[in-house]
Formats: sequence, structure tokens, C-alpha cells
Amino acid sequence: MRWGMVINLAKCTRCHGCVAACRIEHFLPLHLTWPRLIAWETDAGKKLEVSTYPVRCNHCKDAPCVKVCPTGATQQREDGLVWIDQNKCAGCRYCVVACPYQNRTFLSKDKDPGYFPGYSLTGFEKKGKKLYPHQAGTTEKCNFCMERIDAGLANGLKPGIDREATPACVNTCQAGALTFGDLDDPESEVSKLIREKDGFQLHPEYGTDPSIYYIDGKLCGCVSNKAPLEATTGSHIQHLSTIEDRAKEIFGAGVGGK
Amino acid sequence: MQPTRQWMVTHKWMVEPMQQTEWIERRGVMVWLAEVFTSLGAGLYLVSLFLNSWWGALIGWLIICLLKLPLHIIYLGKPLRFWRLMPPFTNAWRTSWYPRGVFFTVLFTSFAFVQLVTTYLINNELVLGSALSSVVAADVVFKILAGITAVLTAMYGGFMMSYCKSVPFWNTGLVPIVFIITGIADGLALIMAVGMGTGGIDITAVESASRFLLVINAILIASLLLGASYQSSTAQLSVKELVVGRVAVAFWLGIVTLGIIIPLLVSIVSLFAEEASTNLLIFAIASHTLGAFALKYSILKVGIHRPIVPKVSAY
Amino acid sequence: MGERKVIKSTCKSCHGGCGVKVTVEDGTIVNIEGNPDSLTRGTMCAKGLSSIQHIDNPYRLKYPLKRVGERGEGKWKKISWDEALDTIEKKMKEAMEKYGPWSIAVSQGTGRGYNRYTHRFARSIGTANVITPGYVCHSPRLGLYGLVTGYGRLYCDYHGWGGEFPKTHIMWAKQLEISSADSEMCYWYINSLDYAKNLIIIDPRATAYTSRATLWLQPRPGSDCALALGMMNVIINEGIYDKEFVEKWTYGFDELKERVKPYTPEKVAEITWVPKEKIIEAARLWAIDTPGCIQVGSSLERQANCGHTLRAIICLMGLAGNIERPGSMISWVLPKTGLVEDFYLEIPLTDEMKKHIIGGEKFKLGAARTCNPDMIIKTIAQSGESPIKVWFSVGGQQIVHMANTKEVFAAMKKVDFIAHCDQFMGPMAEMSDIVLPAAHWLEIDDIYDMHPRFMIEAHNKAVEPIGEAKSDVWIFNELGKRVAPKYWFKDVEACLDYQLRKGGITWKEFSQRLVSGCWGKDQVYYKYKTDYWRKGGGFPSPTGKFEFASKALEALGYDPLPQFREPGESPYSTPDLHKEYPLVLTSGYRAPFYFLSQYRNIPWLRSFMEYPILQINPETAKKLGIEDGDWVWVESPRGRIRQKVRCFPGIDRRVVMATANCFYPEEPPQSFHGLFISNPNVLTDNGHQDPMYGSPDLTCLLCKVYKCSKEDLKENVFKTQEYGTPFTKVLPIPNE
Ligand SMILES: Nc1nc2c(c(=O)[nH]1)N[C@H]1C(S)=C(S)[C@@H](COP(=O)(O)OP(=O)(O)OC[C@H]3O[C@@H](n4cnc5c(=O)[nH]c(N)nc54)[C@H](O)[C@@H]3O)O[C@H]1N2
Ligand SMILES: Nc1nc2c(c(=O)[nH]1)N[C@H]1C(S)=C(S)[C@@H](COP(=O)(O)OP(=O)(O)OC[C@H]3O[C@@H](n4cnc5c(=O)[nH]c(N)nc54)[C@H](O)[C@@H]3O)O[C@H]1N2
Ligand code: SF4
Ligand code: SF4
Ligand code: SF4
Ligand code: SF4
Ligand code: SF4
Ligand SMILES: [Mo]
Repeated sequence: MRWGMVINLAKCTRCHGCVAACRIEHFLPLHLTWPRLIAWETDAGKKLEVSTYPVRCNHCKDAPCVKVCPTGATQQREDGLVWIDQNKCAGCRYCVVACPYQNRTFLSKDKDPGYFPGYSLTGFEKKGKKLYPHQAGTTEKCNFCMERIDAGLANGLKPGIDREATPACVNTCQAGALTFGDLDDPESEVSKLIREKDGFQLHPEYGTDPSIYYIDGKLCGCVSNKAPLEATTGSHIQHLSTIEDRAKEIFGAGVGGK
Repeated sequence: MQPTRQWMVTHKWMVEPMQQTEWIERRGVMVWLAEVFTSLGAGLYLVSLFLNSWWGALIGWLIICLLKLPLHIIYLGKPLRFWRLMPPFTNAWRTSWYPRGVFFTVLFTSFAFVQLVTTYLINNELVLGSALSSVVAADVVFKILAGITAVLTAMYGGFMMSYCKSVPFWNTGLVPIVFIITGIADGLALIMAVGMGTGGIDITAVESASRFLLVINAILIASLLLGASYQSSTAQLSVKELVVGRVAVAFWLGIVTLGIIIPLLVSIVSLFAEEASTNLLIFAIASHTLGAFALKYSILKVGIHRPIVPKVSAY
Repeated sequence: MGERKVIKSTCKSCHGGCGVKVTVEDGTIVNIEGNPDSLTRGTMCAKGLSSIQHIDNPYRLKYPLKRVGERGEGKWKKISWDEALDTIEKKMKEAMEKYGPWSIAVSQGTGRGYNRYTHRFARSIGTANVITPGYVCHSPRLGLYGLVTGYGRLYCDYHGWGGEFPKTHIMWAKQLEISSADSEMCYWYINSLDYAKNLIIIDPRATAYTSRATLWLQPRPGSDCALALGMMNVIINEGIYDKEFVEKWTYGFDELKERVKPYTPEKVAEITWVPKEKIIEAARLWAIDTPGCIQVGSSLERQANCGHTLRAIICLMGLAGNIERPGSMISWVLPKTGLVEDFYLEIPLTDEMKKHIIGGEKFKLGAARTCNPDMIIKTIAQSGESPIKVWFSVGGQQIVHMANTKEVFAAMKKVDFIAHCDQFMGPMAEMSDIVLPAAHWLEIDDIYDMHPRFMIEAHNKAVEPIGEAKSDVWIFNELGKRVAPKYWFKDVEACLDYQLRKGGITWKEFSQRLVSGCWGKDQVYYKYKTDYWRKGGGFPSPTGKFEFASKALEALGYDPLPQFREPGESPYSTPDLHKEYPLVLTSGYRAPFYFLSQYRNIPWLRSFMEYPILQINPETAKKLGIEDGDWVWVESPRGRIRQKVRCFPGIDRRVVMATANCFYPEEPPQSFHGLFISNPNVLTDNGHQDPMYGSPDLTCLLCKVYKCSKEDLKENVFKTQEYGTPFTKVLPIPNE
């Protein structure tokens, strides 16, 4: 089992929803963002490209941050997930400097003036201090929503398939640009996407083997995946009529209709 | 080159090469100072061992104990957890140069302490008779141990940096070598100052050694820059920043002029003048030491990260 | 852990519609996420999610306030709801008696789910002088759909309920992926792209999807009508239109054929700057790869030829037969609860009310049921005494969003009494005599009306309103009870029950059910082939056909067929002006994390884009000596503003794009919260208007751009703002 993510560059709209979702999920202080967006725009060679690279910790298989961390606070689990034991981190920032993807942030007091200087915190923040304490003086990064994955697995759910066990950013993405799942399972959605759409990693030459893959291409799917329209339409309609049936079930018949 | 901003500005972040800030800006200046003191302290200690200067060794030891180590510790986000950086409390020494370095430094301070005591005893004839031979033996052993750990202490920072794939300019085996050579050169400069106070140091010999090292140093730095300009365009950018960019003043005035040319000129002048004037020497020592500050500052400051997006991996 | 509960509701941090799940612990919201059992499948954007920082934002208005200083002095006194409502009631009744109810103007901002209250309130007190941004946003589109097809609402069928998805998509002056919930949810659109063959984007600027679209047409702002006529020219000449539909179900094809003749691809390429080949290719894809839909953007409605532009585009839909087919443009069957608009349509406009509509004489389509906002401003500015005595404003920053800010500002100062209802202090509030605190959608019970009208959803209260804030429906109902008791209700629940009565459910039941809709197999396609509108088939238009040519328009004195007209200011219509102002300026550009002028005081959202941005081509910038990140002046004959430059290769060298709808909540009341600093409406002109709808040219004018000097940045208005460090300044909280 190795958790991974596939990000579809063609679909991302730069909406920042994933950033907000992560901030909510982990009660992040203002100056901390775990996932980030890179705006990439060029017309080099007269070919215009406007892209957004959503990035976050790559959970590298061969992770430099794990190697350099002097305290052992940064660790890798069996399932490939790289996390930081906030109680062990001494705040030396070696990992911050050494992460080739710059996905780590040192949380310092002086960088976090709070949302509304001079005024109290929002209720959400106050609660967050209890529910998800952040330690100033330590380093943080995306943890692939480890808490959700673990709680989900404990309840027999499947990360990437069941929402409760899937990262918050993946759930919220309106463009469907993010997919999560098990890279080791050849039948998982992520493995299929990587295979079929030529997934690539960022800076493979570093030899870090990131668990986040990117896919790209034209937007209109029926050309690229050549799926017969009837078939896809059918399944889509079924999905919607499930909602419809559900709605009827909950609402009673007759609410919808002419 | 843009400074890192944690504030989320989408189109500025890691699209272009971005300067590392953690180890040079704001509290990061402590890392810089600690690195300078590492080089000054370990270098002075090493040189003192060779020249048998007890005072030099003591001062070198004190620089490490009172300046380098405390600076490193208060730099930590959680200073009270400093012990976690050290074996046996961590296993990370297997993969990381940081705990290794901390370990070397701690070993160095202990070995050097013993050595300072034994040498003191011997020098001041405080032990006599049968005890003397074992103290002398211990002195030799600890001199070797302290010497080795001093070298490692001077070098480990370079290994830490050269391990960073994230910063192409640092990512070369030359960095630790530059660190140790400049460390020794710094030691030579300082030992002259010590010698001026305590006497008993052959300034001329030191000067010729230092002439030699300064030339080596100049060659090393030149090859570091040359190598970097072929390594990748991000490293090239680092070189550009050093030579003509925002760090150019520190480079040309600090590293080149104060750190190399002036000490070299003074030592050449003294070659002909038989004996250099004290003022000139003091000037050269101060100049060299400022150069040492400039060197570490510049190297840390031009630590530039390669952009993330592969399409710009021209960088 | 305290007591937790999960509330399901509907987000309206934009036009709204995403289903949400809110977790509340001891009265505090600790989590917001999408509701997976909704039509948006549990997805949400940054705006909706950031509501967490909105609801107990320290700058929220908490109590009714009464102005005690001059306008803009920022001096306020806390008053009770009774005093506030009594005062407004008194002012309104006085005005009604002395000058007639039409001396009262009721205004709102963009659709925020309270439109029906605004309109019902206005009608109930006897005025049709309702000021809305509709004339630059959606209304012309709906009106013209109505004119052409007889039915007022055409939407894109992204759902595949009829067994087919659109094969060709056109995004015309629209970034639906960002402006989600404006007509359609972006989730539906993006999902349907998986089944599409072509995506054609028509936009002077690259948007998120242009580099991966099938085709991107980059027209000169304001030239879209010519483009549509040119595409029709190709389709008709090549005979690739839907012959069956055109022959059987349309009216005026021959006239249209005649009309588009001069618009050859060559000529259109000259007018629009779009290469001829692309025009032809787009036309072919659209006509051949059917079904398809065109998502029309409001940038086209913010232009003084909007009526004809939209008509031309609608004709294009008809030519390809993309009407009422599965996967094409469609008018949805309503839910059983009926059309939300019925809530105000049931109070008829009297002839007397119509007669007093300001602008009604001039703009026969745009100002038939509500007034023309620009005419209101001009009338006030030009009369000695303002004909509008009481201005009741709910949401909406008219001072910011209307053309020619300086004139709007001067005119509003002449209005005797203004009451404004909002969640924060802003330019409109500073201009008012009484400010009422509005509740956030997480704090209210209300019915949400979805743009495509095939469903309505419930806003369920998750937390108590901050301070004494009240929901808009409560405010309207209370005021309504005082001024026009006949039309208003005992309480909010009664009002909501009334709106749901046709569905046979009460608010309490609906609140549980969350939604009432008509979708899936219940939807009806090809209505014109059935008896749905007309016995024996046909459209509900006067001819019973889809009308390429409109007799109704002709009768009103307008051209019955679409016709291109240059914008009021353009390189071709005003060549002399163009010499002095060499760049074409368009202003709009919805940012994904702002909703119009809203959310610059929400730290999470502000952190994504600190200052309004002017997009400019890097080559143009270089010529002007401007670098990325510089502050520049943008100047038109009306004035100048400052924005921050973003060098963007995706925009034509001759065009610049300014971020619209912006003021700075952190700037002091004296500057009306920085109203004049960056707001592009300081540059726009309200003189040149669309003859049918009265829409001004907000998205096509001329300007020049030059770098700000250091002194320019320190000027008066900027004094309190340290650059680069927002939120370090402590703003006074109103009445704390
Ligand atoms: N996140 C977010 N969503 C919103 C809003 C918001 O502020 N923020 N506002 C809401 C409102 S009130 C509205 S009306 C809608 C508007 O939503 P959209 O219609 O999508 O509005 P814009 O983004 O202003 O403009 C769309 C595109 O039109 C292009 N354009 C400008 N001038 C021209 C022109 O002359 N011709 C052509 N072909 N294209 C042109 C612009 O470059 C832009 O990319 O969005 C709604 N949704
Ligand atoms: N130059 C230029 N001008 C434009 C446009 C453009 O693209 N370019 N776009 C035009 C368009 S399409 C539109 S729709 C208008 C938009 O203009 P408006 O709809 O007027 O939008 P805002 O100006 O953002 O005003 C919104 C106000 O409503 C308040 N508000 C938000 N939610 C609520 C609520 O639930 N209750 C109450 N009582 N108040 C609330 C907010 O705090 C804010 O002060 O601007 C138009 N003007
Ligand atoms: S939520 Fe999805 S579309 Fe939005 S920025 Fe993130 S990845 Fe892109
Ligand atoms: S992306 Fe950086 S922080 Fe994440 S695992 Fe890789 S090296 Fe570590
Ligand atoms: S900052 Fe913390 S996590 Fe990073 S290397 Fe140092 S101790 Fe490890
Ligand atoms: S996976 Fe979870 S922790 Fe990582 S960015 Fe997404 S929401 Fe944040
Ligand atoms: S798109 Fe609109 S309704 Fe949906 S979450 Fe965003 S703000 Fe809310
Ligand atoms: Mo709008």
C-alpha cells in the first residue's frame, strides 16, 4: 500500500478551494499553507500555456527530508506517508532548506500576526487551538490528511473511494482535478490514470520518487478516452438518478416533477 | 531571485528560482554567525595544535563552546529540544550530517577540554614523575582525537549543505573542502593575533602557510563558481548573484578583497620587508576575519532553490 | 470535546447553490465541507469554505446604526431595530405622501437569493424604480431569450439527463469554471467536458482552460456581435445549418441570411482581430458537431451593443438547432414549488408605476419593469432637487459597481435619505443615514433559488446571527409589514411557507428535505415538438416560432435583426481618442476568491491576491517601461486609477484587463474605503448605452497605462496603508 495523488493539470481552475479546505481541515494559521498553487504562464515558442500546478508534500518514497531530519521527527510510514511528529521537531529547518520541492514551512511566531491584529481571534481559530494545536517553532507540511486516512481505515473505509477517508482537498475540488488512492494497487483510480494518461512526477531526476503524479492533455474527454458516448452517458445518468431516487426516498415522491 | 514568502502569492512562488531564507534571513543570521564561528574556532584550534599554542587552542575551544554552540541552540525553533539532535537520543546520524556534526562538535569540545588540561599540566610542569608519561600519552591521544573532531566540526556544515539537492549551488563536494580550507586559513589569521599577544608563534612561518592557503582558497572558490556555472542554470544564477548581483558587494569586497587580496598583499609585503609592522598585521587579520564573515554570508545568501515546475527545469 | 451537530445547508457565498455540511461545536463552526448528497457532489470553492472567517469576522456589522456625522465622516450611533425601522418607515411614508411612491428607489446588488424580496417589497409599496445590476448582468440575456423563443430562460444542458451531453461547448466571454453558479455550476460544466468533443473559448484573454481547449478565439473587446454574424455567414453559406429545425421551427431566416451577407470572414477578421480561419473553424465545429451549448458571459452584457450581440448569439444557437435537444440549450421544467419569481410577479405593476419608471421611455426592453440605474444617476445629477427621496439599498455597492463613479458619488450625495443593509461597512454604508446589519447565510433560514430554476434549496441556520444581525427576509418582512402590510406575513416562517405552498410542503419539511427540484427523467426535452407550450407544437413566441427576426422589436422601433455597432470608444469609432488612449480596456475578470467587491476583508481570501490586478501583455509592458508587480495608473477621459500590474502573455498586446468591483475595506471611511483608488468604474462612461437595455460600455473602452511614481503611492488615500503588509493596521470596528 502506498498512498498517492494524481493531479490533472488540464482541469485545475486555480480556484484555491484545495487551499481553503486544508486550512479548515487542519486549522492552519494564516501564514501557513500546506498545499500551494503555482501559476505557470508562458508563450515561449509562440505557444501559449496557462497552467496551474497544485503542489503539496510529495510524500517522496526516497525523501530527503526524512534523511536530513536530525531528530527523527520527520518519519515515513509503511504506507509511504511522510509525517512530522510535532512533539519531536526541534525547529532546525534543515528539512525546510533541503526539500527539493519546497513544501515545508517553519511556523514561527513572528510570521503569524493573526488574522485581525488588535482584535480577538475568530471562534473557529479559538476552537482550533484546542482541536488541532500547532506548535510555533516547529516545521509543518501536508500530511495527506493522515488523520482522515487512519480513522477511515479503522472504520473499514477506503481512502480515495470513501469520502470520509479521503483528503479534504480532493473532496472539495470542483474541477475534479485531484484523485487519491493506492499507487501499489494497479486497479486503483490513481494507477489507472497514471498508466492511461502518462502520469509524470516533478523533478524525477532528483531520484526522490514522489507519490504525486501529474497528468495533462486536452480537456474534452470523449476524444481522448474514446469511451462510447452511450456507455458513459448511461453510467452518468445512473449516478444522477441515484441522487434522484435518494431524493425521492427522502423527500417523498412529488416534490420533483412538473 | 525572489525571497521566499509564506504569504500565499500564487504567481510568485517557486515559478522562478527562489532564494532560501531560513538560514540567512531574520533569525537565520544566527546560522550564518554560528557557521563563521565554527570555522574560526575549529580552524584556530587546529592551527594551534600544530603550532603548539595552548592559548590559541583555548580561544578556539571557547569560540566553539561559547559562540558556535549557543548560537545554534537559540536558533532552534524549540531550543529546549536541542538534546534531540544528539546521539544517542536520535538515530538520525545514520542518514543525516546534522546530528553527526552535532556529535562531532560535542566530542570535540570534550576531547579538546581534556587536551587543554593535559597540555596545561605539562606546560606548567604540574605533573611530575611517573604520572607525567601517562599524561603525555593522554595528551597525544587527545590531541589526535580533538584534531580529528575539529576537522569534522569545521567540515560538517559543508556536508550538510552539499547534501541539499534543493540548492544546486551547494550540491557539490567542493563545499566541505572549501569549508575546511577556509577554516584553516581563518585559524592561521587568528593565531597571528594570538601570537602577537602571547608571543611564541613564528609569524613568518604562519605567513607563508597562510599565503599558500589563501592561494588554494582562491583557486577553490574559483572552481566552485566555475563548476556551478556549468552545473545548472539555478547554480549559474547563484554565481551571477555573487559576481554581479545582489551579493556582489559581499563577494568582491568581502571575500575577494578583504578575505584574500589584502591578507595576501600584506603577507607578500612582509616577505620583502623582513618583518611586517604590527599595524599592518592587525589590519590583515581583521581584514581576513571580515572576509570569513563575508564568505559564509555569501554562500548562504546565494542558496537558490530550483523552481518546482519541470518545464522550467532549464533552471 | 463539546456537543457537536452537523447541519446541512446551501452555500451562497457567490450566486450560490453548492450543498454544504457544517459542523458546529458548542455554537462555533469548526468545519465546513461540501454535502456529497447534493448536485454538486460535495465540492466547494475557496469562497464558500472561507465563510468560517466571515461569520464572526470582527468587522461584521452587529447593530443597526444611525449616522451622526457628515457622510463619510464615519461617525455612527448604535440604535435599536425599532428605531431603525420606524425611521425608515416614517421617511418612506412621508415621501409616498408628498411625492408618490416612485420617489422611493429600492436597490440591490447582484442576485444573492433575495431578489424576490427586493422586487416584492418595491411592488408592494407601489414603486418600480428598482435599481439592480441586472442590465449589465443576465437580464438582457434572459429578456432576449424570451424575445426569440417566447420563453425567458435558456440554460446549458450539462447533465446528460436526456441521454446526451453537449458535443461542442462554447464559452463566450465567460469563465464558468471560476464564476460558478452564474447560470450554471462549474462542477456540472467541468464534468460534462469529459463527454465533449470540442471546447471553443471566445475571450480576449486566456482563461484557465484556453490552452487546453479545442479552439480559442481572441476577439477585440466589444466586437463579439460581428463575430457571431460572421459565424452565421459561414454556416449559412456552407449550408451546414440544421435545415429541419430552421425550416420547420424558425421565423425570419431569409432576412437573417440577407443580414449576415456583408459579414464575410475576411471582414469580420478585420473588425474582431480574430484570424479568418479560426472564425470559419469555430462556425463549422458549432454547426456540425451538435448538440452543443453556448455559455454566455455577462461581459457581453456590459457593453452598449449588448442587445444585438446577444440576439446574434441566440440566432447562432437556433441555426445549429441547438435548442431543446438533449445536450443543447434548454429551458428547464420547474420544480413543483413553481417559479420563485412568482413571489413578486403576483403583485402586478400598475400603469402609474410603469409611467414613473426612470429610463422607461428610452430603454424599452431594459427599463420596462425596473428602472435604468444610469438614468437614475443622471436624473438626480441633473435635477436641482433629487427626484429620489428615499433610497433603500440591500446588499449591492452601487457606488462601486456603476459606470462613472464620480458622477454616481455626486448624485448619491444629493439623495436626502438612504438606508443600506449589509454585513460590513463599505462605500454604500458610509453614504447612508441608517445601516442595517444583515445576517450571513450560515445564520439564516431561507429558500435559495437556483439560477437554472430547475430546483430550489434550503439555507438552514447553523449558528445564531452575530450581534443583532437579521436575515434579509426578516428585514423585508418587518419593513413590509409597516409600509405595505397587505402583502407581508406574520413572520418569516409564514413567508417561507407561502413561497412553498405550490409544492404542498411547509418550510419545516423543506428545511429537512433541503431541495425541491425537477431533474433526471422528469425533465422534458423538445418541448416545441409537443403540446407543452402550444397545442400542436411550437414556441410560445408571437409567431409560434424561434424568431430570427422579431416583429415585436420592430414595433418598439428597434432593428428586428441583429446588427453590429462599434463600442462608444474604440480604435475605429473614435480614432482621435485612440491616439491619446492607445489601449483597449476591458474590466471584469472575476477572481475565483472574490465575489465582486466582497471578501477583501477575509484574510484567507485576501491572501491569494492582495491588490486588484491589471493584466497586460509583457511586450506592451516592456514598451511602457513597466514590470510585473509595478503599480500603474490606468487613465481614461473620465479619470485615473491605480492597479498592480501582472504581465500576462495570454492577453492581446493592444488590450488590458482591469480587475473590477474593488474598494479597500481597510481604508478609512473618509476615503469611502478607498473607493477611487483602484475601481475601474472611475474610468467607465455612462453616456453611451445600449438602445434596448441601457447597458453602458464597462468592458470595452480606451485607456492609457503608465507607471506610478513613488509619490503617487503615498498620496492621501494610501497614507494609512503600508504596502505589502495588509491587516497590520487596526481599523476601528463600528460601534464597539
Ligand atoms: N468567483 C466569482 N464568481 C462570480 C463573481 C465574482 O465576482 N467572483 N461574480 C458573479 C457575477 S455578478 C457575474 S455577472 C458573473 C460573471 O461571470 P463571467 O461572465 O464569467 O464574467 P467575467 O469573469 O467578468 O468575464 C468573463 C470573461 O469575459 C472576457 N471578456 C471581457 N470583455 C470581453 C469581450 O468584449 N468579449 C469577449 N468575448 N469576452 C470578453 C474576460 O476576459 C473574461 O475572461 O460571475 C458571477 N460569479
Ligand atoms: N467595471 C465593471 N463594473 C461592473 C462589473 C464589471 O465586470 N466591470 N460587473 C457588474 C456586475 S455583473 C454586477 S452583478 C455588479 C455587482 O455589483 P454588486 O452586486 O453591487 O456587488 P458588490 O458591489 O460586491 O456589493 C455587494 C454588497 O452586498 C453585501 N452583501 C453580501 N451578501 C449579502 C447579504 O446576504 N445580504 C445583504 N444585505 N448584503 C450582502 C456585501 O457585503 C457587499 O457590500 O457590478 C457591475 N459592475
Ligand atoms: S481545488 Fe481543484 S481546481 Fe481548485 S485550485 Fe485546487 S486543484 Fe485546482
Ligand atoms: S516533498 Fe519535500 S517534504 Fe515532502 S516528502 Fe518529499 S522531500 Fe519530504
Ligand atoms: S525542523 Fe524539525 S522536522 Fe525539520 S529537520 Fe529539523 S527537527 Fe526535523
Ligand atoms: S492531502 Fe490533506 S493535508 Fe495534504 S494538502 Fe490536501 S487537505 Fe491538506
Ligand atoms: S461556488 Fe459558490 S455556492 Fe459553491 S462553494 Fe463556492 S461560493 Fe459557495
Ligand atoms: Mo453580475
